[in-house]
This record gives sequence, structure tokens and C-alpha cells, in this order.
Amino acid sequence: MGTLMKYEFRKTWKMKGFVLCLTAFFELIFLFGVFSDNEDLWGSSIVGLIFTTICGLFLIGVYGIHILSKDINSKQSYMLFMTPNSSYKILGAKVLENGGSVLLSGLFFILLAILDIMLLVVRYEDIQGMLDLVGVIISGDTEEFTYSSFAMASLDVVLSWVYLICVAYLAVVICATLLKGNRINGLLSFVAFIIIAILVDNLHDTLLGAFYVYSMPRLVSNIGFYLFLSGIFYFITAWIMDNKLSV
Amino acid sequence: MLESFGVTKKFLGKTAVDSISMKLEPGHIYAMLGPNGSGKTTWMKMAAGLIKPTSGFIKYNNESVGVESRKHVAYMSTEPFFYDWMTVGDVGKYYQDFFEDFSMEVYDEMLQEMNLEKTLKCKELSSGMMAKVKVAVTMARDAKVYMLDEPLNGIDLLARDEVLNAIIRHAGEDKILLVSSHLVEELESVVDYAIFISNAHLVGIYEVEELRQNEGVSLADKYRGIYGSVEMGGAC
Repeated sequence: MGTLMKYEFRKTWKMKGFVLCLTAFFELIFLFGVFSDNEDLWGSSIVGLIFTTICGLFLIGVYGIHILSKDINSKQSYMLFMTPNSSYKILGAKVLENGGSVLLSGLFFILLAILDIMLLVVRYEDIQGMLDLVGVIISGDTEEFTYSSFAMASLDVVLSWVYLICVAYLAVVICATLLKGNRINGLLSFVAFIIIAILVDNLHDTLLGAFYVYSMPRLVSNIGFYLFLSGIFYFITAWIMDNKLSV
Repeated sequence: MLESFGVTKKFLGKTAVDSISMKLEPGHIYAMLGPNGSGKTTWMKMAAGLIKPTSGFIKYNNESVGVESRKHVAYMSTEPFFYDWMTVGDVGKYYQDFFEDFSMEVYDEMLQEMNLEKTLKCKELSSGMMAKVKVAVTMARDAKVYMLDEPLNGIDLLARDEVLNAIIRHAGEDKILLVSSHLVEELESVVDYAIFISNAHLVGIYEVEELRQNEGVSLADKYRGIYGSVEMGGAC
């Protein structure tokens, strides 16, 4: 599994490097703005950092999906499937590497955000004002925002990403199995992904819609919900790869 | 021993392989012959455990082929399949990471014989060079079964000789070598048996020497005879 993950990382490290470089660029601007008391500069860099966080996580996740699609729809599939590894292991390595990358990137961005907030707090000595500001940015509400809800909300976002990756893997594998060689395979994979995601989203709203979005019961339930569904989709996808997919 | 029991593979209504039963024994080199689309590659992929038959089964040493048999079966596809970012050296490292029977020493020797540098980027290789790398990395495994799908495709005469020499050198008493090709004449001097496949069916398995002695025909003549007017049956 470790060897498979090593090669999965090798396939995607350029994209991760790009996101890291972009983050470093905005962080440097932020630090320069803070230490030179240029509020416009650090304000703009925060927007840049938020943009990089959202897009970075998105790019890392989507690039992993693109790699799976390439791995099973091209002759490069032999590189994986001729090795003495089961489809469960091969997919598991992909989910762990991609999910792990999103998780680590998410934690990295959270840590960076906390450090940057702390720096602003120390620099401008307005702790409550700063937390209120972050609370408004994230939840639109200063009352509900606490450190624990911030951490749980962040974990929730990361796990919902892992779940979406699993849904996308399922969609890609279903389309590769049924429509091998079809020109609109990619488009149909995307349509399948949207359909599955919408169905699950409706189920999610039915089960958890009654809770307030940033309440602790909702956040904890969300995490359980996404973990459970990620597992289900992983097993279905691996089973299809093992039994129905022709490489 | 590699055995195929009534193996059939269908793809969305099209039958690629139809009820093929045969037995391949160690110590022999087999040629798998047949026109394009006859089912050679599909059968090989099933034997390599890459795809599952619709019905029937293939066994390697009395165990159904699958993840475990991939440790002993070295399959080489006709198309280039290495990752774009790989160099010739990376390909060797990849095989070393995944196959216990891979020898980097043998790989290095074969690359040297074929005048290939490890620093060369795979995506920049000519078709001849790519064919040589594929053969080198496959034959650098000490596998029990080698299945080479069209290893002579798209390469010049000299490169063909190098590839065939590499293949012959790795034939052994305990190994099964299966080579598919359209170049019947090239294989004639190398193989013991020829497996003829046509329209997804097994036409027959013939011992090359026996063909020469008993029927007085070469493998190429037999090929012309079979594909000129396909008949089912044949000696096994």
C-alpha cells in the first residue's frame, strides 16, 4: 500500500507544489503587509489566501480524480493492474493519498490561518474583534463561533471533500466500465457525479437539515455521515473495478 | 502450467473470446497467431489477471489467475504503457518496487546490450526504443510465465533481432513463453508451438517441428492455409 501511495503522490506532486507556491506568495505579501502596517496589503493577501485555500483544496481533489480517470481509461492502467495488488488496494491507495493530501492541505491551511490570526491579534491587540471578524467571514454569526466549532467546521469541510472524491471515483469508474472508449466519457462521468452528489445531498438534508449549520450536533453528525458514505462508495467502486472494469 | 477452461469474454454484446480451452506447459515457447481482432490480446489479458472472463476460467498451477498469479506472470502490452513522467531508469525502479522477481542487474545488462540510457525520457522514445525497454523490463523479471503481446510491432529488422534474442535467452525449462505476433516468419525459428486463433475461437495448437516433418509445411504456410479458409479443430 505504501508503494502504491508513493507513486500516487509522484503523479500529483506538481499540482501540490503549485498550490504551495501560490500560498507562499500570498503569505509573504501578508507578512510584509502586517510588518509594514499596510492594512490594504494584508487585507488583500487574506482574500488571496482564502482564495488559494478554496481553490487549492479543489485543485488537489480534482487533479486526483483526473489521475484516476487517466489511469483506468488509458493504457497506463497496466502499470497499476499488472502489479500484484487488488483493486481494493489500488483504490485504497488513491483514496488515502488524495484524501490524505486534502486533509493535510486542509490542516496546513487551518494552521496557517490560526497563525496569521494570532499574528494579527498580537500586532493589533484586538482579540475579540479579530475573532468576531473571522466568525463573520466563516459563519456570518459571531455568537456561534468558538475555537472548537471552528476546528469541527474545518474537519467537516475536509471530510466532505474526501466524500466528494469518493463519489467522483465511483462516477469515473462506472463510466469507464460502461462507456470505455466513448468520447463523452468524461462529460458523462461528471453528470453521474452530479446526480449521485445531489441524491446524497437530499438525503443529507432530510437527515440533518433540522440542525443549525454550525451547531456541534450537526458538525459531529456530518463527520459521521461523510465518513460512512465515503466507506460505502469506496467498497462499491473497488468491487466494480475488481469485477467489471476492463483495462 | 497455464490452463484455459472454456473461457469466453463478451464486451457489450461482442464476443472477443469464445470458449477457448487450452493448456500451456513450462519449457516451451508458444506463438499466438491470428489476424487483428481475433481475440489474442483479450485472452492474454485474462491470463494475466487484468480482466475477468465472462464465463470459464484460467488457472495457473491449479489456482485461478488473479492478484496472486500476477507475482509469477509477466505481461507486456503491445502499446506503450509507462507513465509520461518516467525515465527508462524510473521504469526499472517501478518494477523493482512491485515485483520481487525483478532484477535491476539483469535490466541494466539488457539496457546496455540494447544501447539504451537510463536517463532517457519514456515519452521521447522512438517506437523501436520503447519496444526494447518494454521487453527489457518484462524479461528482467524471473517470472514463470511471460506473455508478450506483439513485441515486434513497429520496429525495424535489427531491433527485432535484439528483441527476439532477449526473449530466447530467457526461455527455460520451468518457464512458459507466449508471444503474439503477425510476423509469422520471424517467430518460426523461435517457437515450439503455434496457437492459431480466429474470430474469437481457438483453431488449433500445432507443434512447429511436427508441422515441418509430418505435413511438410512451414508455420507461415500453415498460417496461410488456416486464414485462407478457416477451419475449426487441429491437433492439440
